[in-house]
Amino acid sequence: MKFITKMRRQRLKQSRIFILPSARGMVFLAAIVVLILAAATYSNNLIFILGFFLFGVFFISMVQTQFNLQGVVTKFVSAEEGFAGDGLTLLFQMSQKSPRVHRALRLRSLSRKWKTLAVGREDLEADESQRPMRITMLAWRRGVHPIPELAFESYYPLGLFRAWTVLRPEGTLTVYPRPKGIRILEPLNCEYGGEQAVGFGASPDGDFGELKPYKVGESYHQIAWKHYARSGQLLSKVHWGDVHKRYHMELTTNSVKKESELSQVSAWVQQALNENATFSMDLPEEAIGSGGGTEHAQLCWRTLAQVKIG
Amino acid sequence: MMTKLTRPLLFLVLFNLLPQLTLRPLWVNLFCLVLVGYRLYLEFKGSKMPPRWIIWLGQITICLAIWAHYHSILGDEAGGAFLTLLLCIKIYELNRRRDYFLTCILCVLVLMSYLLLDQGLMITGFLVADVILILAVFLALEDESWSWTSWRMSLKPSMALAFKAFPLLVFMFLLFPRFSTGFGTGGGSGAKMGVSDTLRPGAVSHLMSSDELIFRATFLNGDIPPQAQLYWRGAVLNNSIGLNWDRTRDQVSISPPGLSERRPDIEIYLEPGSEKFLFALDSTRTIAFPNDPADSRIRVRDGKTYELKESSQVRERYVLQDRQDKEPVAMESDAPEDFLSVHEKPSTELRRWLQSYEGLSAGKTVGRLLDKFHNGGYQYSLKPPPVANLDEFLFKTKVGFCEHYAGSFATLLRYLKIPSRVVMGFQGGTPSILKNFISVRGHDAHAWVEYYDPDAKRWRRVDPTVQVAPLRLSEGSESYFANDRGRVPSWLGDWSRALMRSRAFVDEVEASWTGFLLHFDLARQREILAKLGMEEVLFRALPVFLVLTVALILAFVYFFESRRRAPLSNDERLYQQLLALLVKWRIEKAPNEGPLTLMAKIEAASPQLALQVAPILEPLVAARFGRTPLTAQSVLLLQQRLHQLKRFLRLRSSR
Repeated sequence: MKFITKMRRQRLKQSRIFILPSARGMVFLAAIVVLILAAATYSNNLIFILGFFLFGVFFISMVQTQFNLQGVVTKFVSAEEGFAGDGLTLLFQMSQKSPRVHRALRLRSLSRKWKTLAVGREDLEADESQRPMRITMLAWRRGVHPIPELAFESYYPLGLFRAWTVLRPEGTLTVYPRPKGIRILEPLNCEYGGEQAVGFGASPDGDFGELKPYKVGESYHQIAWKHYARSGQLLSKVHWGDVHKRYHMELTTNSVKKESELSQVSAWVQQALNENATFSMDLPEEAIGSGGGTEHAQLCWRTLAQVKIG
Repeated sequence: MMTKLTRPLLFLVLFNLLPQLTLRPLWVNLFCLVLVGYRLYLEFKGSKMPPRWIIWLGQITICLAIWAHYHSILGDEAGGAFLTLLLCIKIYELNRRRDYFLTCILCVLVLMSYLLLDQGLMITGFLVADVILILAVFLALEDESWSWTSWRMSLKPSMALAFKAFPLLVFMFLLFPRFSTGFGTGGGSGAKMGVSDTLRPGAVSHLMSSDELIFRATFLNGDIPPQAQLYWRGAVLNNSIGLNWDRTRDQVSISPPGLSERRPDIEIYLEPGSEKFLFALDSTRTIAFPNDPADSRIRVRDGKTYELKESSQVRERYVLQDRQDKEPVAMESDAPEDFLSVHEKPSTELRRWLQSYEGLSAGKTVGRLLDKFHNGGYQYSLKPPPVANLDEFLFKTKVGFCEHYAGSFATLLRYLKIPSRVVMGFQGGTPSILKNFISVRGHDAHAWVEYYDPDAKRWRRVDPTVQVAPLRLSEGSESYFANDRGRVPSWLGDWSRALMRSRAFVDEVEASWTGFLLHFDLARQREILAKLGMEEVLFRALPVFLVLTVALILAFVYFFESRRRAPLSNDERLYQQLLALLVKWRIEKAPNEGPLTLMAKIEAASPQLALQVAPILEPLVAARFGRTPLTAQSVLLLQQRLHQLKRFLRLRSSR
């Protein structure tokens, strides 16, 4: 257990830091070679001095780049869920034990599939024991994926070397099917909030009518928070004239053949959520009962993300 | 992000152009200033960059202009000018981080091109400043939070980096073998200054207004001889065309004799651009490059002058070895009958004038001619009226400088059948402030005469200019010209003397520096290693040793870097001290406990102790988490309280 905990906290130990000259470092080195050759050709000691000085700077910067990364502990905190093709933001926590300034620390994806949309880039000051770092990656395809390998790296101070360490955080990235489709889903029925007889059915949102006890699965937006603050009792606001729809989404075939089918269902979930409707889902391997609101939608999307095609 | 670094980068480029104001042709300077100026204008105005085709056109124009001026794109000066102009064009393409980086690298290469032309003290100072600024821009490129207000944040670490790189520089400089690439030094751009092998009145006068250093001479075996003995011979002219002189071109190449066992007498650092002449004194027996005595680049010319087979574009160090038999003149090898012809026949008036000298011995003739120059109303001037021929000078204008006097004197001797020749070179030199070397500059250029004395059967030196301007010889040309009304106003006399003294001091430092730079070569490396008793071992395994040394230094740097910690703030430091004290007395704080939990723990353990700890902990908590930072006084107070707590804990334990 201790070992696993140790593994989870990706402590950057000296032995795990790799360092190589960057492209800029190679150009810098080439310039030094030009200087030394010119100095030897012209027997010019001042150019030798310039060349050796830059060579010294090159080596010192190598050590400094490594120490800029060393001693920083990175811990995976959480990851956003999102639709395929959207950016997913991962949250990490950097911390250090000994007070040292660490500048221009960067976090980016090493995977070709998971492209980095926004590189995490933070400084860690000497008096800061910890600081969050975020990285946004492109959700390349639907599914529940392990978090890809990440490079925690630094080019500081001169950009001549790249010191990096490979992070393999434990966790998953859930990518929902991208909502896409043109098929229209008909509601099972239409329930009108409040008394239909009052005749305010025309308005899609309607005016505030009355309060009724909150049922699990209803949208949080419906909760009368002010009332809850006063009395501690959870009540839902009912808008008269608000058409309350109920949907049932079903993938009839025994197995899902195409991604597009899942995208269509995902789009229906989106639609139902937008309409504040109650919806249920019937998938070949799993059924989700009736419910509404963001959490229910996320449950549906998460389920859709896990569906196997075949 | 990059755009905020555009201005600092443009200023770096502008700074980088400073040395070229004196080193490159005017058109290159103007071109660069226009390019950088317009780029700065666009930056401050916020206007768009010119289209790409204009930049390409600019690049083609630069190539053509360089070709037109230098007839090459490569070579020291052409390459340097090309790099500088390329740098000025590059600043129009600053789109990505890579462009900023490449501009900085170009700055380094431009700096290198300056060092090919000049290695003085000024350029060394510029090198240090420039490199620190370039490193600061590198640092800023990696620092996203860079702003003008935080420029020190980039400058301080870049200086620290330079400081840390210094030991590596020293080791590499001492141990890196000075190999040769075998490409030679290019050259071929022609001399910029110095004496020539022709005498046309006016040529030396042009040199005399120059303060440029020609060479420095160190007298290794004693004091600097008097000025009057320092006739630095460059070229001997043997063809007389009246007032003008030149020398026969085709000569058999003879190498000078080798150095004898004893120590050389004079060491000379010759600046580049002085044609091919290797200046030596009358008393010189031989000449050699100390680091390579077998160097076959030196040849002996007529009149026992020395020169390089090809002019050198780099600073050279050579030594002179004097004759031991105290013979003052060392020109006996030349046949006197070769030095009698004059291409111009004397006029009737001149022939009549010469009649009074005929029939006298050579020594007497020379004496009477000198007397004539001394008493005949002749004047010395750096700006004499133009003269068409010898007669005009001798009988009409009677105003001239060393060239006029030497040229006319030697021609007169030849008319009187006395073998004579003109010697071009330098006379005197300015002693350094510590009197350990002399600097010979452009204004020390001189021309004098050598004639053959058939009685003594040897050549003798005679300087007719001394008869007209004796002070020039005794005081040296620098003070002679400094007091000349034509150059310095009288009220500036004291200032100019002060200036001369301060310049002598700078000269001293500069000479030591350039001497060191030039002196340190493969031979010197071997010498140092031999002193350390490691020559044999090291030169065999130098690369291994070099790698080991660099690795060792890196290990040191690694060790110190790993121990480097950012300084703790006062409150953090005092808090740590308090915790350490409490731990000593077995009150430990768990990692998840804050100061308030700790206080509660202490209170539970010992209320008396809590009374001692509270006045320390409370201000610390307020400083750390509140808005009452610690002042210098409160830090002192807290330190006192910590001492009191220490005493209290000791007393408690003793009870």
